[in-house]
Amino acid sequence: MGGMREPKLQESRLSSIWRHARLYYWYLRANWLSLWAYPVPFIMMNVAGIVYALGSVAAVWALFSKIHAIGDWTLPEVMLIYGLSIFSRSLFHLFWIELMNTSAMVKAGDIDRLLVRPLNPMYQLVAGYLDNDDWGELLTAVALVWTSLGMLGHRTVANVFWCLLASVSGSLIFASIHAVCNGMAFFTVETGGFSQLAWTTDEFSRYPADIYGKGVRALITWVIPVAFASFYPAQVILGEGRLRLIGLLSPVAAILSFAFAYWFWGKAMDKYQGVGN
Amino acid sequence: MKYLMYARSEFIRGFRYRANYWATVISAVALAVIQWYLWHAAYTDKDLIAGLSLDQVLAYTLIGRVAAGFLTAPTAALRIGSRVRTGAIVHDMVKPVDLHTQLLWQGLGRAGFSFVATGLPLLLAMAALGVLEIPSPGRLLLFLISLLMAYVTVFSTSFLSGVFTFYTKTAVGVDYVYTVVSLLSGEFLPLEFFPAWLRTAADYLPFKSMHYIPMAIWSGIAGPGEVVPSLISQCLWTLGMVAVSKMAWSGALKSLTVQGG
Repeated sequence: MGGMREPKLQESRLSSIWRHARLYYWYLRANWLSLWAYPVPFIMMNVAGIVYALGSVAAVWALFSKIHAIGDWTLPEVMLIYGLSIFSRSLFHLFWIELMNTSAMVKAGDIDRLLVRPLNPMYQLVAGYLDNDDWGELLTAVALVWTSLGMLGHRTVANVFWCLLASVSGSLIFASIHAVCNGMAFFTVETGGFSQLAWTTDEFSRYPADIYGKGVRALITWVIPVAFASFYPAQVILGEGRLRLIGLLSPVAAILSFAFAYWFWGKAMDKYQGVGN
Repeated sequence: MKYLMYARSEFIRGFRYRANYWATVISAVALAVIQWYLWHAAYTDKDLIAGLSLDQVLAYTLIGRVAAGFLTAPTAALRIGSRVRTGAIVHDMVKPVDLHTQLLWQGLGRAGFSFVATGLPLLLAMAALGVLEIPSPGRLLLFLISLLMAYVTVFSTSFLSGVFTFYTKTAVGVDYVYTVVSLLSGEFLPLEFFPAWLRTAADYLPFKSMHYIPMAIWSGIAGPGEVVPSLISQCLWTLGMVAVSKMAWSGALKSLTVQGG
């Protein structure tokens, strides 16, 4: 089976992208409706999710009840960075979680199913499922970003839109990291550890990136670019000069890292052999 | 002793996943690195915060990272809810062992593996680098005793949460709000950092037996006069939690209905 090759339809790249985008609406609609099939457990789970997210935010709050700054950063600034971090993370979690299923699908031979359909395989994998248990974290993230913008006196329409764009681009960065880690399934079959590692990387995006030493900072900027999911985009609002400029480039960083991850996933999938029958 | 065999087999099971192993080690190192930098940044222009020095807080959080694998909530592994839902609970009940004790020892085996495989190397590496100082033998011994009791409290909390879902028949248990337990246990930061009212609440709850007490003993946050009283209160909570678990479990068994057969 060839990797991510499109079927030989007489179709331009542009109309193929359009077809995928239109279909995504239907995927989303079906997924969203299925979340509400059992409304009470769904709501309970996500109310608990808000409490869960607030539990870790409370650690930052408790810390700031005793100090006034972490490095050079005050409470609203840290809240904005933290908020953008969990905003990006929850968007990734809700919309891209099926990447984590790659290993299970390789084991069961279910990748065959993706390859015979006339749609991009990674797209089918990701679009096929919308997660049910992280909407509480998303709401908490929105509240954190909104409140911190207000406390900073920077709650402008432009900044709100920038935070939205930054979180979508941040979720793309997490998607890239998880796509590479889970794409390892095509080589190693079992990826539990890699997947766990991918989940650990987002911890680096929760606090201001400049509290880390040079080595760690270079790592989270250039290799595992999680700093572009929270710290750099926040600099568009908080920072000035060069740092602000780097912040504005966050969506570019996201697109580049996703392009690499997508290429890697495709290459890895070329190694897929099926399980026979 | 038959329960020891359960612990042994779970311990050995840990060695199966080698690729996982390295990823787990890297994750543990990464989390320790984050804590190290975070606390240095918090102490930029201060010598003491909430009465604690940077060295004390670093010792507290870094030994916390070492013990994190050992003290991970075994919620998923217990599967009490799914044992009931699928009816597999029947097989547990016909065995000549007590399920609560069996799960406790199995969990101890898993936790022990995690400690030996990731916690201990992290500890030795940090000690070799001079990042984490190993306390006097006496304190070390008290720390280990306290850590074992912490495990029992962690296990009991998860077990009780599992039994709770047994009564309510919903999937939402304590694990869905576990960060609150972690916060109150002192896993995120020492309880000294809490505002007064939250500190009082944390002192009256059993959760500080899950993390705060052993780490405070290691790091010296618990002064010489406080070690013994906190160990006694931890011991009482541990015994209490085990007793409540046993009672809740036998109560749950009486009301058990197995669907299908």
